[in-house]
Amino acid sequence: MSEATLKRLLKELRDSQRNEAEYVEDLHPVDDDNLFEWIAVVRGPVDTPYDGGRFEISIKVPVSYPLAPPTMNFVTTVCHPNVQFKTGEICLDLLKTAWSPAWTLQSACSAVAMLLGQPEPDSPLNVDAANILRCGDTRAYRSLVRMYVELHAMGSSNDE
Amino acid sequence: MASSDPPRDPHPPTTDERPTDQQILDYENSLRAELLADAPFVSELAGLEELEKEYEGGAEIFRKKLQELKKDYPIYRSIRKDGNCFYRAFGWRLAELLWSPSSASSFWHDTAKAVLISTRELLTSSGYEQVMIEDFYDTFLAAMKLREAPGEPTGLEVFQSEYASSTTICHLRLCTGAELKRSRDLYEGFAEMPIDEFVIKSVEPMALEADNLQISALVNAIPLVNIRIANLDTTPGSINFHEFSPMDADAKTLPVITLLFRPGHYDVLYGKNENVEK
Repeated sequence: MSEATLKRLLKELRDSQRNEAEYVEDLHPVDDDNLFEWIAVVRGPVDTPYDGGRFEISIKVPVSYPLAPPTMNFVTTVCHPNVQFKTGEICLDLLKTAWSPAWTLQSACSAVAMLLGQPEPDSPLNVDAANILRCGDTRAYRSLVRMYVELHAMGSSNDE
Repeated sequence: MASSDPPRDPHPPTTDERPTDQQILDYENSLRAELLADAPFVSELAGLEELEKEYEGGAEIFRKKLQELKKDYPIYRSIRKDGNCFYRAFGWRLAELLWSPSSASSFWHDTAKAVLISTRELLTSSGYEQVMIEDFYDTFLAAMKLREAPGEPTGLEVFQSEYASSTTICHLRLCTGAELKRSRDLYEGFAEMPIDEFVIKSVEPMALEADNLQISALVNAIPLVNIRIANLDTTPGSINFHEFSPMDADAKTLPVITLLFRPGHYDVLYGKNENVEK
């Protein structure tokens, strides 16, 4: 099974170098000898408080990929109802139960970027952010998010 | 976020004991895997008596319907209960028909070859990227074309191997999705949501069971068989069948695949005179 996985990952590597996906600025294996760990950088969608931010995502690919989904975590600190503030864990059904082998690492990164603009406060990993949104206080939500974007996701040195 | 100040260290060790979603999911999956561990993806043939045993202490209506079913369909093959059973049963039975020596020189067999090859085009024209579907398509075609030779794996062994079996299912799911998108006007009214959303939510993910809409679409995506589904339920009277036929093919000339449906699950049924793969 691992051979098919490697073949598929090589295809994805070639494909991601040729074609750009929406919001995905960078996507590459951590090192050339290991196709099972990748790093991605996604841009915050325009017209959202994440606009202008660059967010790093670490990707772990299981040996049963693409039948099983990759694990993705934000490395950059993100304030978002569906992202665990401390660990960067992402709550997106596509990465869990709704995964389909028709997705790729690249399209999944796009979907994660789009999640930034489309929070689902009813299944929160960050209850504080979700509560503000559930109260309907979008102004507070936007400015809180914006603060963290400017703190962690803008400029070249991200978190370091 | 009045309750907490922004932490200084962006990634301090987590103190809360709550398992992550990933851990919960892994746990669920391991439980499911344990439950299913002994069940092959596609089982050996069995007499319907085996099925009757399951209902020995059960409702009279089930026993009556099984009695009745046994007259025409004395044999069945159980399929693993993992949410993929409809697609697996369909793929298996289609392959079995293709492997059957009696179909080898038939007109149907030639049509079938062309139809199966055309599924790649069906997928790419619906927006699936060729690079990503190739692996599924190749394994699917190989499984369908399989001819048993000494030393080669048997058909059953192929469908019992996880990669070939799952990949075939994946290809069938994508064919279903592609057909739904291609003829969306036809299906949209039944989907209760836009077709693209329906495909992403209810067709593409593995382990999600097929319902009438997916079955109709798959029959039209691969218009090579009629599907007859025996419903084993508690409605009074005799056992009832649902039939699905491709729209643009002469259904009368096509072979029939018969499945047994119990809520949430499909198995394969064999009629008295059907050729079966041992």
